[in-house]
Amino acid sequence: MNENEVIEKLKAQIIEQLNLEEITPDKIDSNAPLFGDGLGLDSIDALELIVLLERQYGLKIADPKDGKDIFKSIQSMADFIIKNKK
Amino acid sequence: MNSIGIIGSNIISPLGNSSEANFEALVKGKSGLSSFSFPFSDSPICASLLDQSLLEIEFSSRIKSTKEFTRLEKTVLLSIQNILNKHPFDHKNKNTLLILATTKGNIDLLEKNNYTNIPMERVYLSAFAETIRNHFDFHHPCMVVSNACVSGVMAILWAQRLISNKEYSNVIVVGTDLISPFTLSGFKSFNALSPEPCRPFDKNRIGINLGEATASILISNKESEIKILAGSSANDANHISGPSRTAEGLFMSINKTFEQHKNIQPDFISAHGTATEFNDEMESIGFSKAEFQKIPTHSLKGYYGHTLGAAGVLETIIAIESLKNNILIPSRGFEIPGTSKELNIITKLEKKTLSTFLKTSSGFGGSNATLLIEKN
Amino acid sequence: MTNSILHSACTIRENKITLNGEAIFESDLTKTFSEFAKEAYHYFDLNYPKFFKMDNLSKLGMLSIEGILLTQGVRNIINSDKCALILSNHSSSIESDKIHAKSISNLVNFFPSPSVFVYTLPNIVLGEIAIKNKMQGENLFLLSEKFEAKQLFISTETLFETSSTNTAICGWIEFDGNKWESLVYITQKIEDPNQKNGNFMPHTIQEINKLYNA
Repeated sequence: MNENEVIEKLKAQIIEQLNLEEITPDKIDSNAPLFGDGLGLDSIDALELIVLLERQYGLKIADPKDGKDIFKSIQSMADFIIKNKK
Repeated sequence: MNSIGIIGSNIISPLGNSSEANFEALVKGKSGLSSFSFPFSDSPICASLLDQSLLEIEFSSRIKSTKEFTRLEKTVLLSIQNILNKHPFDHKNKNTLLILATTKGNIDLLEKNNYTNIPMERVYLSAFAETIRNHFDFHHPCMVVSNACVSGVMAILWAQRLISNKEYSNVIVVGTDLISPFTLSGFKSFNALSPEPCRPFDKNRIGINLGEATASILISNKESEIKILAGSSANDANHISGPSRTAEGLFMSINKTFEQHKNIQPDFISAHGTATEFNDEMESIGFSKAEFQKIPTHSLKGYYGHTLGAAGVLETIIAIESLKNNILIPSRGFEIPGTSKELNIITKLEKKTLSTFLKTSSGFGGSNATLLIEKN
Repeated sequence: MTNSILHSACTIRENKITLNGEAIFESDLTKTFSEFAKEAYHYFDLNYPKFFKMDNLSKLGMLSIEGILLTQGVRNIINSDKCALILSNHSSSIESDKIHAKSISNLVNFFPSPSVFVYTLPNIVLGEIAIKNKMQGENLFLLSEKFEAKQLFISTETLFETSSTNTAICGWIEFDGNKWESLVYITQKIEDPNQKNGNFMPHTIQEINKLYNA
């Protein structure tokens, strides 16, 4: 898969896993912050993203504090997946 | 609110089957926490679990019944029977109420092959409560309180209110929960479990341990050495699983509880102290806002783990034993202050004249509940 | 003898929302609860994306409160730390419990979800209502076999007598698969018993049962 495909697939998975009703992939800016502003995700969403990475991509986050950089944006998540996916 | 008396209590826990035995174990520095393996976890989990075979022996010797009971029901029946043995009274009359405080009740019925002869129906809390009621022949259906981790304190508070309002003369409050893959895996998904014994209020705290216990209190309109002076609850109205960063709900509850008792400085605080980063930080802010930061404070989660529905009742009973014995129990697991507002955490066993304590609790759903209890 | 009144009752059953006896919104009975809830969300113009992260029990609770909020003045009454939330049901959080239990039933495909687990407590519906409506008063969640007007009545009256609480949203929010229903109503302590309360019912067990059985 190329980077764009990873990003599009990830957007769809996040919308589903986090129950982001009425948000479509085209409405999500890949570089916008996921937390705080942007999509405005919260602490439970952060935990769900960890589950998503493990379940869909087999990637375990060893230390949730590492999560901050990985989950900065869709782009940073995609970078992590491309870099580490087996 | 009229002062209402606490007549007796009982604890069923890994540290013993009476309040006195439990207190003695804590004085000796014993902890119920140990390492256990679970099939779903690659690494061992630190928890405080009841010894099932010892429980069976105790149960068979004290409870006569041909019925089948779940693990949880056995601990509840045992605990109530122990109270009735020590403080017999006409518990079948219409002036008596049983309040059950639990977060998940017989949730292990949802797991395959746990019980072959017990109907799935008993997973419903009212059916579980009715089973207990029928065994002792209580007049009224039980009041069942399920308010996350504040359930225990809530149940004691409501017992006090109902007696105060002359709805009942005697109330037995039972707080209970068991640990199963259901709760363990849930807290694990929250990244909330510590693999080692937990460290409430400590700089290096990394999460909770879960624990099993059933604790019962007999509360009455009769005169007693131990009195519930006041209590209240308040909601943060902030987040369903994270406590308010400004401790709004806890501070409001403390204020309401002390409204009629502004002149009282509690001799110690039995905090919720779960050892998560956020709870303990929130409590430090709440206590500091109330100007209680110098008051000796402990959490008992370092001995029992977080016993969920039982916690509020169990920890209140231990605090009452502290009052009776004039002994402060140290906060196990604490070494280095780790909250932005420094508290006066009890670090060693101390003999001290004690008259009052504040019990606090906070839980998922944003609830906070507090009690002020006094010894004459 | 009670010095309190009862008003603004909202029931939700069989895809229909009723406020004070009048049907205000209805969806076709062929729609699932999820579909009905989404339509009701738009009917109320809720504008609260968190709604879609909630489980069915919390969605039902939220919609019930939106119903009573349509009555003029209710928003101001409940936005106070002297307003309590006293809710009840039979099934606790059984739907979310079963989803969570299923997610951990297979060791090979073991992925418990934190957003499911957080809803495996019945008082979360109370928490969601408190957050949305900024309600920082007393809370209580009770479990019973069926709707118990007496228990709600005694709890409310006791709270009014023993604390500074003077208002309460009381109710029954029950969700168990295809069997679901809700009733919420407001009770208020009246300072002057001689005060005329033309449009309000006296707070009694009988009146509460009338609301449930309507």
